[in-house]
Amino acid sequence: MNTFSFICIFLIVLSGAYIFGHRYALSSVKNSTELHSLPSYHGFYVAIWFAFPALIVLVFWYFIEPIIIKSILLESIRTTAFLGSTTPDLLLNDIKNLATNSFALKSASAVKLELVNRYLELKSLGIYLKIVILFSIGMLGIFIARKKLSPKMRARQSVERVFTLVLGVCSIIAILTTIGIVLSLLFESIRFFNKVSPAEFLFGLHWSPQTALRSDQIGASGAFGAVPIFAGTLLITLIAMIVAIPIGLLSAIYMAEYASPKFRNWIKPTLEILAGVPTVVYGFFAALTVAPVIRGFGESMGLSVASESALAAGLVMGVMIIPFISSLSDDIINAVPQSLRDGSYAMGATKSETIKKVVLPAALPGIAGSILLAVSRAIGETMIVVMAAGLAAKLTANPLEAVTTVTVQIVTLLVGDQEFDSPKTLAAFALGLVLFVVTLILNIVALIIVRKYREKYD
Amino acid sequence: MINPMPKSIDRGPNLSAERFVKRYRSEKYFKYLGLFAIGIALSMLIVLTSSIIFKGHSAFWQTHIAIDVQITSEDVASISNANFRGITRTSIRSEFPEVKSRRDKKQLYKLFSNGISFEIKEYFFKNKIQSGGIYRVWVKASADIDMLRKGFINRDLEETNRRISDKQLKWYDQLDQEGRIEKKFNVTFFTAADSREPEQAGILGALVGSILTLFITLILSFPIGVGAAIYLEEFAKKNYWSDLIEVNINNLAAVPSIVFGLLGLAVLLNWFGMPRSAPIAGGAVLALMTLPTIIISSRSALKAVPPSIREAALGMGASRLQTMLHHVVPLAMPGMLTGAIIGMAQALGETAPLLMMGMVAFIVDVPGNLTDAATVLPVQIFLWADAPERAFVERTSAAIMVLLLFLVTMNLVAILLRKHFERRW
Amino acid sequence: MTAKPKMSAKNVGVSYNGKVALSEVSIDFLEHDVISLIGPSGCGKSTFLRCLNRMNDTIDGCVVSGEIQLDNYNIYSSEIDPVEVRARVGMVFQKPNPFPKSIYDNICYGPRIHGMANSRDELDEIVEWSLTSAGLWEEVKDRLNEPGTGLSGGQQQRLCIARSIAIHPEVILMDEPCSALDPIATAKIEELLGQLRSKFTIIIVTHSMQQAARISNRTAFFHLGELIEEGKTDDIFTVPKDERTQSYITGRIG
Repeated sequence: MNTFSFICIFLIVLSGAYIFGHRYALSSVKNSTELHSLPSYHGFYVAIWFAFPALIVLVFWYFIEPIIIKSILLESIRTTAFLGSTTPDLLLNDIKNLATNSFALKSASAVKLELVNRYLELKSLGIYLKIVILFSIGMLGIFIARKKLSPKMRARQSVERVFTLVLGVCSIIAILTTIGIVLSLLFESIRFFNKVSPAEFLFGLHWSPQTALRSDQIGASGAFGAVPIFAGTLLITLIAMIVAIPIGLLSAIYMAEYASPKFRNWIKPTLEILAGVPTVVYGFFAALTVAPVIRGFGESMGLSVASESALAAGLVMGVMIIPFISSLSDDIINAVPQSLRDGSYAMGATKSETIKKVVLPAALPGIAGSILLAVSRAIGETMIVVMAAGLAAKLTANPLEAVTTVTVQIVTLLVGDQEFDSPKTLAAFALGLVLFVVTLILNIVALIIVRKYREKYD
Repeated sequence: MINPMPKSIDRGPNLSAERFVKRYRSEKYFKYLGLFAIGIALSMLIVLTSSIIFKGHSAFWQTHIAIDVQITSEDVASISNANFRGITRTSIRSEFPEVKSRRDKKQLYKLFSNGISFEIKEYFFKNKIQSGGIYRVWVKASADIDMLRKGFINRDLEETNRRISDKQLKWYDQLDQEGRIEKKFNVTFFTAADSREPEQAGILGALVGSILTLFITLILSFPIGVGAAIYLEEFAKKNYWSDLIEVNINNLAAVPSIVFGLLGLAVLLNWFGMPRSAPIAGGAVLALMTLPTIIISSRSALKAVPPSIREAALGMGASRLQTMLHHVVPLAMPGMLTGAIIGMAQALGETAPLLMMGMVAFIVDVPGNLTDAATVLPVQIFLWADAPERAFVERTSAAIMVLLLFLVTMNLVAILLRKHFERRW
Repeated sequence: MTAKPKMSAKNVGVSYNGKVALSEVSIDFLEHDVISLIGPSGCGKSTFLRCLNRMNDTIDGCVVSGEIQLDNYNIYSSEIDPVEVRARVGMVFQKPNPFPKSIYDNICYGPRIHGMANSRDELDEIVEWSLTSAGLWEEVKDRLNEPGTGLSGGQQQRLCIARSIAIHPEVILMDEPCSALDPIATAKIEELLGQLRSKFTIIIVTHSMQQAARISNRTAFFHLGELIEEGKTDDIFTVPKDERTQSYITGRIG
C-alpha cells in the first residue's frame, strides 16, 4: 500500500467520523437549537478524536520502527556471524541501500541477499502492523467521543481549543527549525572536533581535506586549518561590498531624494529583480561571461589571471547584493523625518548639502544595518562562488587568483559520496556551524540596529 | 540684551556668484552620481539577461539532416523486430559510397546523433508506413555538426584544433549543397530529460522535478506558515515567548540557504531516513526555508485587516476562531497567497540546499513519483554549466531562460493579485 | 508710513494639487517689526509663512502665484535662487528639529555651508554668540559636543533659533514655535523674541492670541485662506475693522 492510498483512506475515514458526529448530534435532539454547539462542531469533535490518537501513534511509529528493525536485523547479523571486515552498522547501511537499489541487488552476495529480504519482510510487516494499529486506535477514539457526545456538551470549546493548539504548534515549527539547525550542526561539529582540535581548525593555515581520505592519514595534522577558507570568503565578500555599497547606496539616495514617485515606483522593483534572479544564473554568468572578460582584460594588461578568479565571483556577487542595500537603504532614508530636511533647507542648504550633511548622518545607523544584512547575505551565498570561485584554499589577498570560500567547501565536501565518520564530511558541518554563527550574529546586530533606528523616528 | 554681533556673523552668508556656481556644480554632480549608479545597476541587469538570451536563443533550434532510409517491406511489417541500427547505417553508407574504411565510417556516423535509429523507427511507427521503399527522414545531427551549423566552430582552424575533421566537413558541405541540412525547432529540449549527448538532452525531467518539489514545499509551508501567522498575530499573548518566536523567525529568514541544506542532510536524510535525491526530501527542506517568508507576509496581511472587522464579528457573538476563519482570514487571503507565490518563486530558484539533498544526480528519466530520484531546474543548470561540451552552453542558457520565464510569471501573478485585491481601509 | 517694507507680498495665492489654500494675500512687513499671523487652524497662515522663504518648493504639487518682494526683488522670479532666499530668510519650525549632531555642529551647519567662518576661532565665536543670543549658552556651554537631540524640548527650540540666527538672516519666520512647549519654555522663547527684534525682522505664526498680543507690534488675521485685516496689534485686538476678526478675537469662531 503506498503513501497516497494510505492518505486517501485516512481522509475517507476522517470525513466519515465527521459525518457520524454531525448526524449523531442532530438525531439526539428534536430541535437543533437544543444543542449547545452547532452540529458541525460535534462532527469536528469526533473527527479530532479519530485523527489525533492515530497521528500520535503514527509519529511515534516513525521513531520506533527503525530502532526495532535495526535491533532485529543486528540480532540476525550476529546469529549468522557474517561480518567480514565491516562493522554491523555499516553492514546495516549497506543492506538498506541494497533494498532500494534493485540493480545493485543482482550482484549482492547470498548472505546479504537474505538479510535484504529479511529487511524488506520486516518493512512490509511494519506497514501492515502500522495500519492496523493506527485505525484501531482511531476507532477507539471515535468510540470514546461517541460516549462523550451529548446535546449539552460544549463541543465548540473543545474543538476550538484543539484548533488553537494546532496553530500554536505551527508557530513552534519555526523554533524547532532553529533548534534543529543548531543541534545538527553542533552534534556533527563536536564529532569533528573530537578528531581535529578546534584551535587547529580555527587558526590552522593549511586546508586539504582530501588527504584525510587515505586511511593511514585520518586526521592528519595540518589538513584542516580553515584560515585560508575564511580569508577567501572575506576577500570575495569585500569585493562584493566594494561593488554593492556605492552603487546600492547612491541608487537608494537617488530613489529616495531625487526621483519622482512615478520613477521610484518603477525603478525600485526593477532593481529588486537583481535579487530575485536565481543565484545559479549569476554563477553561470560569472563563470562563462564575466570571468573570461576579466581574464582577457587582465592578460592584455600583462597580468596573470586565474580562470576562476575571486574578482569575477566578487563582482557578480556585488551585483546580486545591490538591491539588498538599495531597497533597505531607500526605506531607511525615507524614514528620516521631513522636518530635518526642512530645517536644513530653511538654513539655505542645497539638496545635496542637505543629503550629505543631514539626511545621511541621520540615516547612518539604519544604513549600517542594511550593509550588515548584505554582508551576511554575501558570506552565505553559495552558487556564485561554487561556479565561479575555485577550490584552491590559498591564503592570498590578490583578487586575480582563485580562492575558495566556506560555502564552496561545504558543497564540495558533501556532494558525492559521504562517509559520516570521516573528518572530511564532518568538517563541512564545522564550517556550516561557523557560517551559521557568523551570519546569525550579523543578522541579529543588523536587526537590532534597524529596529532601534525605526523606533527613534517613529 | 543681545551682545554685539561678531564680524563673522555680521558679514552674513557668503552669497557670491562664484560660490553658488561651485555649490550648484557639486549639487549636479551628486545627482548625476545617483543616476549613474542606478544606470550601472540597470545595465548589469540588461547585460545579464541579454548575455543569457544571446547565448541561449540558438538552443531552441536543432540542426537536422535528411537521410534517405531504405527499408524492406518485411521490416516495415514488423517494426518492433526490425534492426533499425543496421537499416540506419546502411542508409547512411549508401549516401556516401566512397567511404570504405572502418575509421571513416565511424567518422561518418558521427555526423548524426547517436540516437537516430530510434528516431527513424519512431518515424515509421508514427506515420504507419505499410510498404517498403526509400523514405526521406529528417534526423538530428550530432552536437558538433549542430555547433558548426550555428557558427560556433571555426572551419578555418587547423584540423587538429577543431572537433570536426576535414572529411566530415566535406560530407557536411555535400549534404548542405543538396539542401539536406536544416535547423528545426528543438522539440527534444522540452520533451526529454538529461542526457550525456547535448542534442538529446532536455529539461522536462528537471521541470517535472521542480514541480514535484514545489508541490511538497507548498503543501507543507503554506498551511504551517499561515497557521503560525494566525497564531502569532491573533492568539499569542505578547510576552517573552512571542518575542522570541518573532526574533527567531526574522533570523531564520536570513540564514544562508546552504545551512538549511545541512539541516536537511543531517536530520531529514540521515535521521529520518528520507530517500536521497527525492522531491519529497528536497521539498521539505525548501519548505523549512520558505516558511519564514510565508509567516512574515501572512502576518502583515493579517495586520492589514482592520480591528473593526474583528470587533464587529466578536460583537455578534462569534468566537475568536469563528471570527478568524469567517472574516479575517478570507480578507487576508490575497495577501497570504501573494506571499506564498513569492516564497515559491524563491524556492524554485534555489540550488544550494538541494545539492546537499543529493538532487545533483545524473538522471535520464522523468520522475513520476515524489520518492523517485529527481533533479530540479536550477540544479540542471548547475550540472550543464559544468559540462565541457560547447553545445551545453547554449542549452544551459536556454534552461535559464525557461527558469526565468517561470519566475517572471510567478512574480507577475503575485503583483496582479496584489493590485487586484489591494484594499484601502 | 514712509519706511520701505523689508518684505511685501502682492496677490499671493497658493494651491496644493489644484486645491486653493490661500488667495489674494497682499501685505507689507517693515524692518525690525514683529508681525504675528493669527487665525483659526487651516486658515492658511502657515502656508503663507512657508511662501516667504520658498519652503513650499519642497512640497510636490504646490503652486504659488503672485509675487513676494524681499528688498524689492521678487523672490519668485525665475532668476532668483530659493537657496539664496532661504539664507536670507530663516525659519524656525513648529516642532523643534535639531539635526542629529552635536550642539556645536548644529550651530555651525549654516555658517559652514555659507562659507562664513575663515577659522576655527571664528566658528567658536559664532557658536558662542548665537547660543548666547538664544539664551542657551549658560545651559550648554559645557556640553557643546553632546547631541542636540538630547536637550529638552524648550532647549531644542532655542537651539533651532540659535542655529537660524547664526547665519544672520534678515527675516526670521517662526511657525508656531511654542506650540510644542510647556509654559515656562514658552515664556523663555517669548522673552528671547523681544531681544531678537532689535536685529531681525520676525514674522511669527501663532494660534494664541495672547501670545500675539504680548510679542508683536503688528498682527495679521487670516480666515479661510484669505487675509482679513492687518494693522497695529493694539488696534486689531481693540478696534478690529472686520466683523470676522471681531468674532475670532472674542472666541465666536476658531
